[in-house]
Amino acid sequence: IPLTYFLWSTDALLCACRMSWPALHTQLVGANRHSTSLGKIWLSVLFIFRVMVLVVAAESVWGDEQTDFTCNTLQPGCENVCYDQFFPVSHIRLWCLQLLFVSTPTLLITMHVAYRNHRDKKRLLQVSYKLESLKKRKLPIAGPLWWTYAFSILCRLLFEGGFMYALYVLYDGFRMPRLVRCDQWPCPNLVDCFVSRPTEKTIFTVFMATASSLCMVLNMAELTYLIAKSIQVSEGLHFYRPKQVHLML
Amino acid sequence: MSWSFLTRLLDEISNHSTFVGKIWLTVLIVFRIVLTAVGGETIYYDEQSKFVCNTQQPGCENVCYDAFAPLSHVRFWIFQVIMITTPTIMYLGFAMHKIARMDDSEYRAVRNRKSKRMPIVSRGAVRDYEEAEDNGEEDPMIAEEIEPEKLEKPDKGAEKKHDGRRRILRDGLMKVYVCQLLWRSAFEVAFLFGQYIMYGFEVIPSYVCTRSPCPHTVDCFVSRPTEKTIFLIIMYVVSFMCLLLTFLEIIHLGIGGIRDSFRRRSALNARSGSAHPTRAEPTAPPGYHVSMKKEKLKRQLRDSPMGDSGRESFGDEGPSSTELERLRRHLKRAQQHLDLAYQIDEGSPSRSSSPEVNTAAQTAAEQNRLNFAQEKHSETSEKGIHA
Repeated sequence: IPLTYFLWSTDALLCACRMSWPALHTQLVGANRHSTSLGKIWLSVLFIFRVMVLVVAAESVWGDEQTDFTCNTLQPGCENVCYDQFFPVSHIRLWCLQLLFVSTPTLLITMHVAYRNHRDKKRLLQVSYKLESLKKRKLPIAGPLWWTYAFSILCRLLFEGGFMYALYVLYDGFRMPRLVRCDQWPCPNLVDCFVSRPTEKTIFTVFMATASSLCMVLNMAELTYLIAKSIQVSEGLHFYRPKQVHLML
Repeated sequence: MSWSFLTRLLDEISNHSTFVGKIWLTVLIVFRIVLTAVGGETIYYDEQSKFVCNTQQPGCENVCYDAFAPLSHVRFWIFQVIMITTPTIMYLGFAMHKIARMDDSEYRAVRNRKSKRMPIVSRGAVRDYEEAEDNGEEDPMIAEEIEPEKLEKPDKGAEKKHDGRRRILRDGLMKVYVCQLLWRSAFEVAFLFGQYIMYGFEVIPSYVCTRSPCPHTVDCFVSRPTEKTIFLIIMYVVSFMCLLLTFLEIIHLGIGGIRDSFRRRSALNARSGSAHPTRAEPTAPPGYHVSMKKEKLKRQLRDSPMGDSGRESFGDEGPSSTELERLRRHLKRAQQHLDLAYQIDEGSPSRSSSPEVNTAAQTAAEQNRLNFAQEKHSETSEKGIHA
């Protein structure tokens, strides 16, 4: 019972998520300035293949999932209970949560950059140098920023993997069954219940899982790239004292 | 938010396309995206609730609807639009990346010369992007950091007359552009074929279903079959049109390339004997970069008529690390500075002895000094931060 309350509250929270995608978009685009090329590709894949598909297509497929969930019984309340038993969290909500969680580590980077700019602004004010260049300049990914960046990629990976695993465990794979059998009270006996649009839902689940694994691959590639670049820079070019990695690719 | 994101990206792409490409984009946006979003919403909203079967068996309608439409038309068209715009968006990302990566110092020195006869100088793609950046429009793939520098009006006016194809050639992106066109047409053909296999040309008003738990062969009735048929045929026609436009664009590029190579061959035959005055003076700072770049590009274009310059200029920058690049740039600027001082002392006129070039050279020197100071200061500040 407490689980259903929790799920209801997250459901209400995520109703707002439909309207707040543009806000998330603005935040992420700001952080995009300080990413590597792989990071930029990841962000585009995220927005085009996942957010857009979710908002435009997937929500209409799952729109009637409860109204068209029919059970072979006249017993009132049996359909509600059976639906709740087999679909504790709807796929749409899980994906919404996944996308929100996966996008938030990027905000860490924005905060770090803002902190650095704030600190440098004070110092540069003393020299009375160009201040507008401060906002527009691109910080090299080095030192503490490198650690923040790597940590954010790691978080992204963990969240992606965690949510995919949760979906897999909750629904026994990525296939949506056509028929489910339920004998929860008040259903009088073992009742056949029929899910609406199972094939279409399976197609979308597989598509979103593929997009999610693509994003994970991109994140892993980015992480290895960062590590490799920093090792390379610290080994060679020692005499130039370049502890910086200019990732203006 | 959803469709507007894609349409904004596509608007950005139109700055990097040829004329035919812009037509394709318009057709895509107006006919496909708008039709899918608007028509799909209104025609297909009751496709399952009004799918009625001649039976009282609960669950039979669900099952028969699933058999009738494993993937609804609207979702199929959405996938189609996303897949078809993906090669173009990837090309845009690559183009932005490449342009941002091009040597900044060369760009600045060349621009300061303010020449009108060199098509290489005016970088229309970058300029258009900078305008978009000033408007506050940013998109994930293209939010690159290009230092915003206001460019002069007359160059922009001369640039707008140029075909987008020239710009693509000049920026060395022709190969990638053609590749992107080929992928797009491949996807288009694949989706057209898939649409035919899955849906045919007509939506039948009555569907016969024998899946369990339906007790026997059951008649099911589809909602709004005629309207859906008309819409399906309209989308077929639009897809064909887009495919045709893509082929037209490929042909247009091919013909343009052939025409260019003929023109170049005749031009080279005409002035094969004239010597280049700039070659004799390798130390004139404003002329140096421009003439060298011209020579390099001429050589490259002579080698490969379709503009392999993309590959070569990409390869030029590959091996050198950024640190060496910076040093090289510093050395170049120092040399320019010295040469300028030498020239001013001598009082000898440079090749293009107009006063504006001299002032441009002086401003270049000024800028170089400022850049030196800025870099030194940023280095010391960085050292201070890391210390």
